[in-house]
Amino acid sequence: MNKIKLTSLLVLMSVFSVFAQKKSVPNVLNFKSAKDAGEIIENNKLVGYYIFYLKEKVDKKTSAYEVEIYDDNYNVTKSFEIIRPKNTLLLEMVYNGNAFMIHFYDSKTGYEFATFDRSGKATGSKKIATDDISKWDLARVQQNIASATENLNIFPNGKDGFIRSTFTKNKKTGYEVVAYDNNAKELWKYGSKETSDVLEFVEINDVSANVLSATVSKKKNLMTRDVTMFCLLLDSKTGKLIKEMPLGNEATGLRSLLKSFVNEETGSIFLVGEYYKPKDDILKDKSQGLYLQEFSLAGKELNKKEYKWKGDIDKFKNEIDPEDKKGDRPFYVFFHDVVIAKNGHIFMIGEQFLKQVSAGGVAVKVLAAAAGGSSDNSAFEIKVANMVVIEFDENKSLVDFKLVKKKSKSVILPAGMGYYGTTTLGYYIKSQGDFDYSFTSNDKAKDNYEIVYIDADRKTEKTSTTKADVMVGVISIKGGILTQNRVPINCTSKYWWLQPAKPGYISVSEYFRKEKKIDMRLEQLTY
Amino acid sequence: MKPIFYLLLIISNISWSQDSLTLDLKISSIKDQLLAEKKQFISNPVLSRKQNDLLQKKHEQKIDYELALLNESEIVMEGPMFEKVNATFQQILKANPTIPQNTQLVICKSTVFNAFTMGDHVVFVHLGLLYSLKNDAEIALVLAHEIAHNSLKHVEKSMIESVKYETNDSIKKEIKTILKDEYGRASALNELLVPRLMESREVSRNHEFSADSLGLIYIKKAQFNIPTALSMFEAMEDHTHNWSEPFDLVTCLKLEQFPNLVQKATEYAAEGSLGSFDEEEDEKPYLATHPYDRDRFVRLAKMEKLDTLLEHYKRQENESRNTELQLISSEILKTSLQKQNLTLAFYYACKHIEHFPKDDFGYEILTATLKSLAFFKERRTVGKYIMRQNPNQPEDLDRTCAFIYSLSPADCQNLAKEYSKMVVNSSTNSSYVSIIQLFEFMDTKKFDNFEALWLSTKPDIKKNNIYWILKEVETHLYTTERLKFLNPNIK
Repeated sequence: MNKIKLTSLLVLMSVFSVFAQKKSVPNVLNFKSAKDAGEIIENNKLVGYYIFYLKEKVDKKTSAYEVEIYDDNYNVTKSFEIIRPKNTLLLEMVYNGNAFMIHFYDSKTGYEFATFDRSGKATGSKKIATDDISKWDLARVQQNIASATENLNIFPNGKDGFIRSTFTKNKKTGYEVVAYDNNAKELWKYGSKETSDVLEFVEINDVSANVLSATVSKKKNLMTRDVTMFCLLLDSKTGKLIKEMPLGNEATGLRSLLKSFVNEETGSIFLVGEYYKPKDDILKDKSQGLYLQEFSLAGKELNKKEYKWKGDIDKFKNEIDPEDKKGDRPFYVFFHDVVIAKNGHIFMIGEQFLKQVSAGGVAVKVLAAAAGGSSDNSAFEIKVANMVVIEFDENKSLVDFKLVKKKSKSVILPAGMGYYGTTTLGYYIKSQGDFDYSFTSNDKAKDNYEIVYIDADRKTEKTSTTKADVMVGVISIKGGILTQNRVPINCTSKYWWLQPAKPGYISVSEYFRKEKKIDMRLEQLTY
Repeated sequence: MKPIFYLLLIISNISWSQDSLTLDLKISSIKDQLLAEKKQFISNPVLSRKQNDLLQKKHEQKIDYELALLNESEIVMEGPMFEKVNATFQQILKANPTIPQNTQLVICKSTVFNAFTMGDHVVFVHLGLLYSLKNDAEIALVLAHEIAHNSLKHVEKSMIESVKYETNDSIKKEIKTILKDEYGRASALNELLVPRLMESREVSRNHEFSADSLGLIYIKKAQFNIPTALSMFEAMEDHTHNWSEPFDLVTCLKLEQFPNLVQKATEYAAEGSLGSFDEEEDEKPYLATHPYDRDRFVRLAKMEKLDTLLEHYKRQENESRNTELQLISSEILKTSLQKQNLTLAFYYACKHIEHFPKDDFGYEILTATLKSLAFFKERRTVGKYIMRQNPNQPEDLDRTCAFIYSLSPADCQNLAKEYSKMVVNSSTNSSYVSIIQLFEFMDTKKFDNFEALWLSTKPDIKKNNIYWILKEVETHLYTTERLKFLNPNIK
């Protein structure tokens, strides 16, 4: 329970007692699937929560469900009934200011993208039969259900529609970006060529009034290390291709795209990522450094800057980690998010990690071998260390490389995983939720961003003997100014968990086993 | 011996002066009265034996519930505020000999706008309702309405109806059939039960109308001014629609000297994060058991041949209203802290200061609240004790919620420092002042002083039901400072 849950467990919010302070959920006997509840997101900002539960079976094939919508203070805002195939799951709910788009999934009937207006009235529905869904898409859904992580495939397209990314069944596997209006009517569609003989994947980064930017990766087959990445620019109103910009190639060196930002005011798109040596493998080798690249909205390169780890970035390091002195084993940085403040400063938020031999893993293996058996643990482990913030000013000059100290931890790898490249292992531990980074709370309008992570060092101060129940690290970027805090959070119950909340807050839930209730409250992250 | 003695007193209908009884004795007397009523269940000849058994069970459950309500820490039955309201209550009883004269008044320590009776010659009225009323006539109308429910045996009638439904074989059979069916259970149950719910809603509304009418007759006999009493419906409308009077936090809290707080006090968004959702018009009347306030007012005004436009009635304050309100407000402040609600304590303290600037008690509570807020905010546990914004609550309260959330621990300390100046002049040596001083000693690490005050005031603080504030302080100081005289129950 000492981990921030990205998905809500607001399962029984429907029976909330009318408590004005903390929200109390009585009669909680156990937790149902976390997919029954989740956060409502509007332009990367948490604006509310939903829960979805079975009301009754209507007939052999269909059931009546209730969708309840809560604002960001846990106040009930709306609830409405819907009839859907039995065993339907609600995978994602997105709000665009005028309408909600809900992604339903049923293993027999497939997908349904339904839109509802603010009164809960159904305004449209788009169904996709199971046979027409790519196996990649289904695999992604299954993984999300199993790991209880959020689906993040639908984005608001202004206030009048939504955009969704998906996989298609081309000659190999391709991608598709589909736009809908608020009545779930398909407006346009853009995808990889049907005849494409490579695997193509897409990830939407940003949708502005006129431009959609996404990362497209292409590879010949699943096993190859030869991945080529592109930044895809589409007209968000028509779906017409503006440009597909290659992010390097094997001969000149590959580039990864961490995030792209569309700036309608300056008419530019801004890319942030890591670059690699020619012939280096993006999933195996360590990057050479970071790059910032700006393009016009027509796709013309305006400027590009590269910053080497050794020489450019290291000299800004505020602290030298003793581990770093062993030059042959430098930490890798896994980037979780990029923030651009209104003053133009860019903050790249990452976390150090390193593959190393696991003393525990080796010992277990030796003992197991001595006993004539074998161990499922690898002899390797991943050490997860400090948070990293790299800051660039409005002229794209590197101005700071901050190591934000936190207690390191080791993640023992399963047998066989130790032979994978360190970068690949970074993605693996990310998928397992083993990084300490938890979430970024965004409030673009107020220019406030808060990056939240768990710090295993639970003492409130170094000299203090007091241990908080949990210590949360907060990196705040307000008006382009970065500050850091360690925030103690205290609980009454032994069973507690933390969840993302509205900007500037964290939701603390406690389960009282004897009373069979969950109390939920909002606490401010920084003051 | 004691219960038997009082039981005898009740049975023989001997009246005694309440003034001479302590709170404990007053509570015991009501409890004894209720226990006697619990035993005196009379079967209804119209009902079958089985139905009467169920009715008796419900009757006993109802009385058990009432007995549980009669907890010393949850009710007010002594002091000048109670005596003042009780005087109005007694005036109604005396003027109407048909009302059982052993009917008693209990004031519940609750900020909710409510009054109720459970048919047992006990009328419960909440502090939150008394706080919203302006004069004796308005209070009399509310009390008389509840007494009328008793006189008309509404609770008993509703219980009988409920017993009839619950023992109705055809309904039970239908429910059984529905539950056997795998499909459409909830819809079928709705179809079966909603018409009955609607029926009972109609009965309930008629009960309200008839209690209004009889209540009006009672207060007329007790010489209360009817138009003044009818203006009570304005308070009800304000409550129903969540209307509130304008509330200027900046002026009330003298925030001009804290420019950053002026901004925090004025920054306010009334809408929720998902915007304001229109309420469907047919939702409210469908569920409400009480008739609309305006309908009730118009019926009574017509009955008395008075103006039927509520807006023409001006709510008049008694000459002594200010003193009464100050007493009620003080009780509400204590209740808010007792109920572990720092937002309400802050809100009512501001209102108290606004109305009674010379009374230090408002500053006492405000300072104690701010000190508590600073401590809980630092520990990130304040969310347990403060209310979140909600577009469905009165705007002035919602503004207070937003303001309290925006305060940093340092802001709370600065404000507490300012208001504690007013408390220093106070002659009161209350538990609330002790709380302030204990926080001061903790902040300045004067642990010898802390220990002395802690040991001498802990029993009083516990008695006032505000020990919850110090419980976390105790744990915190025990783990950080290893103070031996503290004995927290650490998990």
